[in-house]
Amino acid sequence: MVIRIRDLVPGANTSEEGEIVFDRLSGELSSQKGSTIVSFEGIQTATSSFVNTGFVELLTKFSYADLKSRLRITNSTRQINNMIKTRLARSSDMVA
Amino acid sequence: MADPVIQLPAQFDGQTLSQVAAEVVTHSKQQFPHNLAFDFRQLNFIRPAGVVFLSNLADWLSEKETGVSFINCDIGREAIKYLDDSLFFEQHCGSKLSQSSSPRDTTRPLLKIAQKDSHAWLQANFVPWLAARLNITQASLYALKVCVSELFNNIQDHTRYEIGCIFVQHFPREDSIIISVSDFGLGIPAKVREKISDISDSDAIIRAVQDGFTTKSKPANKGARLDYLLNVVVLQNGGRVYAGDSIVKFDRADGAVRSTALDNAGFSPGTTIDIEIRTDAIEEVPEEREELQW
Repeated sequence: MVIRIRDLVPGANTSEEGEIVFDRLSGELSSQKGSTIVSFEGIQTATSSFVNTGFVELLTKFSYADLKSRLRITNSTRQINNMIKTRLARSSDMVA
Repeated sequence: MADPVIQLPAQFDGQTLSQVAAEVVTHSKQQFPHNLAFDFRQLNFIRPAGVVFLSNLADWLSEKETGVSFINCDIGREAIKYLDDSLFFEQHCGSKLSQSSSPRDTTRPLLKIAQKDSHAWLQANFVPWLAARLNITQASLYALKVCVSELFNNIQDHTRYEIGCIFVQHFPREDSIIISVSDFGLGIPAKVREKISDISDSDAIIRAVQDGFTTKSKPANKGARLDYLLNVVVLQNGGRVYAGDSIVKFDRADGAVRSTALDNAGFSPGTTIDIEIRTDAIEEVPEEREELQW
């Protein structure tokens, strides 16, 4: 399954956009056991507000290890990838 | 009683911002004056922080129903021409002092913009302009763009105005860029004191930039925005950040972020943050898309 962020929200800038992405990702990850491909095609950057609500909130339902093994982030940029990795890693430390 | 006149100092930058604001407050203790004038007679040098701070101060006074005027604005002086080219007078007086004034290639002129519009402006205007000036890829500036986006998200979450003011200048001979962003909000120290009551302005700002610290005005903040700003600008680039109208300076020392409280504490209508980036230390990043490697 490929989830294209641009199909859900115009950008990855705000927590409101992150909430929409969280609902979609959470539903997809809960409904099956396999991997989910998340495409950032057409998006250049992501703020911490977006990543905190869209991705870090997933730690309330899934383990960090589970997310790393099942989420495949594609067609992205270095900035987006660094933001997702850093926020998830730091927040998983806080949860642990 | 005569309308108060505020003399702008010869050098209007981070060091003198709060002095001017304090003088405005002195005239507003009982009630806000009907009219107040800023006298530009002595001004001979103004930095980006001064442009956005003065703009913010004038808007704040207008909101209090004080009529603001600017006097002794001699377009023949370089500092006044600089302000006119920055569109300061167009924004506050309805027209430029001189028709020949226009934004300089080295600046993104003074802009008041809503948070909801700021992200698109950064992507469509700020990033292409700066990439062309520095002759680097736009991808090399994405982290810096997000730093500014984070400041606008802070405005959205922490103020009731949702409007920020931004001014950007490239200093090619100094290999630096200064980005000044101001808002109309409560200010970082006052916001932190809602959570920690007994804390100085400078300590409140130092506390506010720590990852994980949040005033929790919204549950998703998680206190990461200012931490990201310091990581990108100070740790990675070796630049500097002046927060809270130059109350605290952040720079890099021994591979870590060093905070220095400056002797500038005073009243301010909102928050001004100055970002100083070293253009010779921006890492070139290719435009190509990539897959995240966990």
